[in-house]
Amino acid sequence: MSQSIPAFEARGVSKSYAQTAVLKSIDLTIERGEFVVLLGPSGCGKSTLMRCIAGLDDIGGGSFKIEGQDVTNAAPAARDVAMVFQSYALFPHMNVADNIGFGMRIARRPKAEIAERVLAAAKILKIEHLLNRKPKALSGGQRQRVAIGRAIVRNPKIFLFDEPLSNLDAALRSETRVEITRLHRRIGNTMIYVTHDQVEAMTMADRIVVMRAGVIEQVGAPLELYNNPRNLFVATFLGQPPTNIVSASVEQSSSDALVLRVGNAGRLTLPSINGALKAGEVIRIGIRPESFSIGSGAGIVPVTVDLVEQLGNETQIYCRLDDGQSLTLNIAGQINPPVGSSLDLQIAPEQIMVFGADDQNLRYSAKQ
Amino acid sequence: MSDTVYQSPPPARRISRVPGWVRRLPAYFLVWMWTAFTLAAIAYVLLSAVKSKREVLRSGWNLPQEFIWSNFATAWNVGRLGDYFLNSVMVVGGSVFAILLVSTPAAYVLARAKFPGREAVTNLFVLGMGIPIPMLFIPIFGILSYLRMTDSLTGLSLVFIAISIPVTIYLLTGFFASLPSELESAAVLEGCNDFQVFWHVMLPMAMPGVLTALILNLIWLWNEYQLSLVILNSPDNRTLPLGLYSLQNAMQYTGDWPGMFAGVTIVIIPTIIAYALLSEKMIAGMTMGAVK
Repeated sequence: MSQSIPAFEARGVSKSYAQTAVLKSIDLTIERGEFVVLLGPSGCGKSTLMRCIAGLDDIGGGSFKIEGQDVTNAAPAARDVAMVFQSYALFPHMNVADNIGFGMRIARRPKAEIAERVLAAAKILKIEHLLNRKPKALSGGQRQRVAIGRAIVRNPKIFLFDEPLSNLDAALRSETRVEITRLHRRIGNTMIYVTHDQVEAMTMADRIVVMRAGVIEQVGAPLELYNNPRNLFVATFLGQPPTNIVSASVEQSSSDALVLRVGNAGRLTLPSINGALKAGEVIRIGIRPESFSIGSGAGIVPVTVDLVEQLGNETQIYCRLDDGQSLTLNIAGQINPPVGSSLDLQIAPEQIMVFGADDQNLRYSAKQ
Repeated sequence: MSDTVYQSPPPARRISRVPGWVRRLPAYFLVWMWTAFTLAAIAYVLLSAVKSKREVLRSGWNLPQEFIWSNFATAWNVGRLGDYFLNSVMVVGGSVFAILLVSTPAAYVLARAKFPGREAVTNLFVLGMGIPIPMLFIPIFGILSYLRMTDSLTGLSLVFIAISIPVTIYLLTGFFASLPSELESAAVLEGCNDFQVFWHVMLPMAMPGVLTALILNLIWLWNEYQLSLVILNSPDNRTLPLGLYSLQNAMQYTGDWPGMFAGVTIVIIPTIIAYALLSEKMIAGMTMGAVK
């Protein structure tokens, strides 16, 4: 099989502001046509990385390649990328058509070509009736489309989206999310999308890049990250409500099984981690809220109900272990255990994440 | 379910029983007094400009029995205000154009670019604003003498430009600093070089600020008297304020007060027209930096 040239490559990219390192040796490869989401909390460096890719900020070390060409020191316009900003960044003194065609006007393209391509982009985004309006006469969603139009009219090698939905209300956000995904399917360009919203990341991405404090924590398909997080940060960052992190003590760790005590009365038997842990060691385990079921039998953890939230299709139960650690459960369907009552929780052993002292997931299996 | 009645907390402070408009009365009173005084003065000047010599000192604010439009012709021709008007237009027009030509890009760079010494340069301009103009009379005259530019409109224009640049740059730096940086980034990604970013994006957005700078400079330079008096000497080079002063002196001997009032009218009309045309944009500019 022939190796195709990736759309984008970052090798050892670092950047500092004064003494603070905001990007630390970033390595990332993005294939052509991929929709990659940079996800992380505020201040993790995702927007900085995007601005560096666009050439708006310089990097301290490392290199960028776009479709095989080294663009580390190239001017922003020479990189053939287009960016959609969080604030839309529409030029308020120009109408929609002039905003969309601005780059081509600067490049001194013929007027007829500009008009034709502006109209084509406007038709894709269904804003052809707005071409003569100024940005102030548009709604938030329309402005966002114009900003996307300004990007697609240039047919760049890479689209960069910097939290483009964060200024929209909830309904419009989910609508626009679907539209951007459809747009990607339709035009097929490589897209890099920055967000701190895990729902956007999970629903839109081919692959998610989870970042924290200037470091890439894990890269993978959304469900791969959800089911097989590399470390405690990724496990807790993805998923809503977040993964329950519970302290447990190792009762037995052998080549056959790992037996954990959870709280005072709970005991869980998990598949072995090949003796990576020692008896008596206190570790942390992660359990997704939907990994619980209410039942009886082996592997039972008793809890006391604190609060019940009925959501119709599911029930969220906030409860406590007998040593005071809190848990959140997502149980499918409608149940209504009384507050203060006891529940016996059953957890599928293979769905329990086990974190070592360095917060790494001991069950993580790297895929090639 | 228990019916819990929540009581609203007691008000933190006593609410005044005096209505807002009553509390604002002193402010309204002062504003209206000021306006009435200004309008009365302008009305007096305008009315006196079209009265006869005999009527002007007797009838106060009364309408003239007969409109004497020839007073304007007297001021324009006898008082040479026509010539002085042209001098003012050339000096002020040229100066304001040059001030904006220099200050606008300078302010943009000082507001947006990052380079060592930027703050020092900005502070230098701010410092320039603090020097009282009378302190500059002797050094300016000395420099102009050296350049053989005393008693010339070009020399006066250069002084106007030099003195106005600091305050104009200070004013415009505030405007440019308040514009969102993402627009610059967007323009750069669209392929603009530094000048194109300034010309196509930032300058149009800073237009209210530029118009504010234009009108403020226009008004103060049009009415500038002290520097003109120091620099200009020969009657041919006088600007309107100097011409008006000489007209007043002349009218003292001829007793042609309506002619003098006609002269005053000729001087104030252009600034009133400019303000009327641009005031809306100017007010928008004045408040632009304050509210995001």
